[in-house]
Amino acid sequence: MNWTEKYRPAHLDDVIGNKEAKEKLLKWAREWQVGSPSKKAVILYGKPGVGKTSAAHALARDFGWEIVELNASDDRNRDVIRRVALTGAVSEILGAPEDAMGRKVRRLIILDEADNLYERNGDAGGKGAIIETIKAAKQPIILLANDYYGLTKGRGSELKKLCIPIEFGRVSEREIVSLLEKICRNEGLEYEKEALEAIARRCDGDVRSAINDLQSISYERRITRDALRHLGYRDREAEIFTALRIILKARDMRTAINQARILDESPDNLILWIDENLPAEYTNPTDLMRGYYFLSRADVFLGRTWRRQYYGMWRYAYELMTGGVAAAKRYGRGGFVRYSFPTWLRKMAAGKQERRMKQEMARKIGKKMHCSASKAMEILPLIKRIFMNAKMASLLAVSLELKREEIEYLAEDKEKAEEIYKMAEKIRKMNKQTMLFNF
Amino acid sequence: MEIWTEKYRPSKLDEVVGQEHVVKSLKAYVKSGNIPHMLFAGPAGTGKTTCAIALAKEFYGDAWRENFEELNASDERGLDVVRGRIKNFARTAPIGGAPFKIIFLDEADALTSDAQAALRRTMERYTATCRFILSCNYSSKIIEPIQSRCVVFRFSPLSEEDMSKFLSRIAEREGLEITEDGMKSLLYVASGDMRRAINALQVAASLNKRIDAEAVYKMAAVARPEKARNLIETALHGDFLRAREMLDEMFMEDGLSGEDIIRGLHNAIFDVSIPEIKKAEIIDRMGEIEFRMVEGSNERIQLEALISYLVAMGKGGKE
Repeated sequence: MNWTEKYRPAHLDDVIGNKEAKEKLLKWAREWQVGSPSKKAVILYGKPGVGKTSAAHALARDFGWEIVELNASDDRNRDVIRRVALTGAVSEILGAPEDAMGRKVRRLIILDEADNLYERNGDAGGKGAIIETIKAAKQPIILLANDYYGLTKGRGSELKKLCIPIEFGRVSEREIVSLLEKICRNEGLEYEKEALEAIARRCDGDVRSAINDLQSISYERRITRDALRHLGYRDREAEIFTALRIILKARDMRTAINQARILDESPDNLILWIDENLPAEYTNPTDLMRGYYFLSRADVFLGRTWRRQYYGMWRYAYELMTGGVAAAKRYGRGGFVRYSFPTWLRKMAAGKQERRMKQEMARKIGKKMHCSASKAMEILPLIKRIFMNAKMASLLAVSLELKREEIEYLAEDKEKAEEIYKMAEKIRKMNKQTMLFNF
Repeated sequence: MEIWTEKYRPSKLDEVVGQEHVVKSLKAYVKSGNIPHMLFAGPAGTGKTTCAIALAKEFYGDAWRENFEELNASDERGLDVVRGRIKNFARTAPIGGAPFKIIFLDEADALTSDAQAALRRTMERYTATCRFILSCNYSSKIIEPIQSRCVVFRFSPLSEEDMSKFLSRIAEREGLEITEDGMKSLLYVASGDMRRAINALQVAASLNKRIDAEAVYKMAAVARPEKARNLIETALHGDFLRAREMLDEMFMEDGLSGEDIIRGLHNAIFDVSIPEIKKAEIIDRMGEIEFRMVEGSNERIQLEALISYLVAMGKGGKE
C-alpha cells in the first residue's frame, strides 16, 4: 500500500502544518452545523502535496458528512458537473437529516483540480457550471486548486465573491521531519535523523513527495543518507552549485562540458544559473566580457533550437555556455565564491502571480474608467505614484474596490498598505452609513 | 532476423547494465508487491525503457503483455489519443490476479504543460487500477504536480566499461570478433547511448564477422575521428587545398553528409592542441555553419568557409 494513502490523516487535527488555514476551514464547517453560511463554498489552494485534499476529506469525516467527489475526470463539462454536483447539492436528504448526535448530515462536494482545464476543449462552461452549482447549493462545497488566480480569472472571477479563499502554504521542515519519524517508528524502520531532514529539506514543503521519498528507500529497512544518494535524491541546489564551481573554475573546455553533462539540468535552465553567477566568478572586466560573449552565443543557439525544432543546435549551446565560458577567462579568481539561485527564475515564479493580479486589477480599473484592461495597465504606474499619498490612496482604494493584496502591491510596503487598508475600511463603513441615512 | 536492440534487451532486472541504484529499488518494489508511480529521467539509451519492461516482466510473469501498456507521448501528441488508450487499457481488470496494470509513457517531456496537467488528471483517475511510469530526458520538464506524485529516478550515462562488456556479450552470442579499435569506434559512435552502440554493431556485422573501426565508421555514417582531426590540423597548418581534398573525400568516398562531417570535426576539435579559447571560438563558428546547413545552404561551401576560418586561425588570425 502506498504510504501516502496509508498515512493520510483521518482527522483535521492530524493534518500537519497550516494551522490558520485549518482553523478557517473549521469555522466555516461549524457554520454548516447550525444552518447555511453566507459563503457556501471554500477554495483550498496551494502547491501540490501540502494537504488540501487530506484536509477536505478529514473535515468530512470529523463532521460525519458524506462526500461527493468530482475529481480527475476528463470530461467534466457543464452537464456532468450539473448532474453530479447540482443534484447532490440541492437535494436535502429527506428522511434522515440528522445523525445520532442530532447534527445535520451534510453532503460535502469536493471538486478537485478546479483550476485545471475547465474552460478548454471538452470542458466548455465548466466554470459557469461551478458558479451555478455554488449559487444553488444547499450543501457545503470545497474547491481544490493549485493556482488561485488561474481559477478566479476570467469567467471564474465570480468565484471570488462566492467562496472563502483559504491558502495552504508549504509545511515546515520540522513538522515534516516529525511526521516522517512517526512513520518510521510505525513501520519499524531504523533511521538517521539527518536523512529525514534531508528528505524534508528537499521536498520543499510538499508532504506527499516527502512520504513518497521515504517509502521508496524503505525497502532496506534502514533510512540513511547514503540510501538517499543512491536513489538520486540529492540536494539539488548544492549539487548545481558544485557543478557550477567546477564549470566556472575550469581551465579547459572538456572538464566544464563533462561536468554539465552529468548534471540533470536542461540547457535553458542551466544558462540561467551560469548567467547569475558568472559576474561573481569573473571579476576581470575583459574576462567577463569574453565570458558573456560565449554565453550570449549559447543563447543564440538555444533560440535556434526552439525556433527550428532542431536539437542538433543544443550541443553548441551546451558547450559554449559551459566550455566556452570556462575557456574565456584569463585570470581565474581563486578561493571560494558564493553563488546564488538565479534571480530571474525566482522573479519569474513570483512574477507569474503578480502578473495575474495586475491583469485582474487592470480589468477592474478599466471597467471603472471606461477603457480596456491593457489601457488601464498603462495607468497602473500612475496609481502607484498616487499611492505614496496614503489619504488619496485610501480614497482610491474605496472607489476602485481594491483588495488588500492589490493595495499591498500598489503601496509597495506592507505597513503602509495596512494603514491605507484600514483607512479605506473606515471610509467604506462611513459611506455605507451615509447611504443608509440618505435612504 | 531480429533487431538486436530487442533481441538483447535484458528481460530481468539483474541483467540491466549500470543504474545499480535504480535496479536495486525496482527489485525491492517487485518483492514488496507494490509499485509507486515513477518518473525515469535520463539521456537516451541509458535503460529507461528496459528497466520498465524488465520490471513488468518480473512483476507479472507471463501475463506482462496484458498488464503493461507502452505509449509514446511524442508519437501520440493528441492527449485525447493518450487518454483514450489509457482509458481502454485501464478499464479492464488486471490479468492473472495482478493488483494493477502499468502504463509506461515514454518521452513524457514532449507533452506541453497543458497536456501534462490533463495527464495528471488521467493519472489520478486511474490510480486505483494503474501505475504510471513516465520517462523523460530532464525531470525539470515535468510539471510539479506530477513530480510530486512520482518517485523520481535519475538514469546516468553508461560507462564505457559497462557498454563494452555488454557489446562483447552480444558479439560472443552472434559469433563476432570485435577488434580493439572496433570497440573503440563503437563507443565513439554511441557516445553513451547503448541503443546506438548496438545498432552500429548490428549494421557493421552485416558486412563482416570481424568488427573493426573501418566497418563501424563506414556503416554508421560517422566521420572517422582520425580523419576529422587530420583535416583540422591540415587547415590550421595553412594548407587550404589539401584540407579541401580531404573534405571532398569524406563527402564522396565515405558517403557522409555535411552534418555528419561537421559533427565529426566538432568531436575532433577537443583533441587538437590549440589554446582552449580558440577551440571555443571554432565551436561557435561550427554551430553557425551547421545552422546554415540546416537552413538549406550549400554544405560544401559552408564547410569550405569553415576550413578557411581554421586556416586564418592557424596563422593567428593575422593578414
